[in-house]
Amino acid sequence: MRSRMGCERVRGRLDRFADRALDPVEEALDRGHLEACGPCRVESERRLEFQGQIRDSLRGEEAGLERAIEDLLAGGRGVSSARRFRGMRGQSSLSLATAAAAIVILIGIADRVGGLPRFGPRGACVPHLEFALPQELQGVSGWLGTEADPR
Amino acid sequence: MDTSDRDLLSRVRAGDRQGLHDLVRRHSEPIWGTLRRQFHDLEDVRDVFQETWLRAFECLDGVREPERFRAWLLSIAFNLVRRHRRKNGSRREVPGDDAGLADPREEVGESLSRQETVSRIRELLEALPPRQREVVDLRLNHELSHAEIADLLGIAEESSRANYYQALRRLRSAFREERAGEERE
Repeated sequence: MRSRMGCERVRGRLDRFADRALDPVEEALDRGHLEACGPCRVESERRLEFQGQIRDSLRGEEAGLERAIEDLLAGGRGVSSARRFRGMRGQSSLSLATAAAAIVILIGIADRVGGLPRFGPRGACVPHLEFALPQELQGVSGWLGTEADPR
Repeated sequence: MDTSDRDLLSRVRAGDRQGLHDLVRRHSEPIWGTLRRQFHDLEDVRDVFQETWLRAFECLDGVREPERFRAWLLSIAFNLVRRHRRKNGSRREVPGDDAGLADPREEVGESLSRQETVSRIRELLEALPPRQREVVDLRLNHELSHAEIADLLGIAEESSRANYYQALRRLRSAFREERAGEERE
């Protein structure tokens, strides 16, 4: 049955209802109310729509994204990559350089043979790949951040 | 039908190049959106974005629950954001107090164009306290559970919920007040 108190109660916890945070009894009560009460149902739909708009706002900042993805899939090359790897010496530089090299190698091989090579026996951890670094990538500028990197 | 993350990860592990591309494409936009709100400088965003993926590629074996791949990826990204800030002192400063945000009201806009609405909501998001903005982002953008958000941010699950509901109320209220102000003009 609709009542003003019922409407206030339901509206006061609509966010929790939409978030599936109510206990089953509360949820069933509120669901029943929303089925019977047009104004509360409209309010519920408005809130869901607003949440959709918030989601769109959070996802809509695309400037630079495509370029970043392309750089990544091309093996991490890019202006920022060099900067990044310059700052990554020490504890993690070797593994990151290995990972980056592995991506280049994976993609390079995939281009030649039509697919990625299978990973080693320990699974998908890139450092376990047993590839020699191609000569053209050894000690040259750049994005691998080797000690030979002049920057 | 969309391929699940579990399937995509299996394909990547089996050496499927397209699987790798699909995985990156699926998760990059929301991750990028999150990072964009962490830094002023686009170069910082690019750095952490690339580093996040490289770390992920480095050890996909770390994914124990493939259906929670996004949460795992975000945990890498958040750690890198913190490290980047410690190192560079780069942080996107946003107002964090309650100024301009009034008590909750219940109406939201209907007549604005969607693009205009999205743009305004983005500004309102910037005015939220950082913790609330993070929780809203993780809940709505990444669709993480409050338990996952709590793990990621090192807070209690109930705190995640409280921040989320408070943020929603603030956003609705601020949006409604903006509209009311425009109608008075």
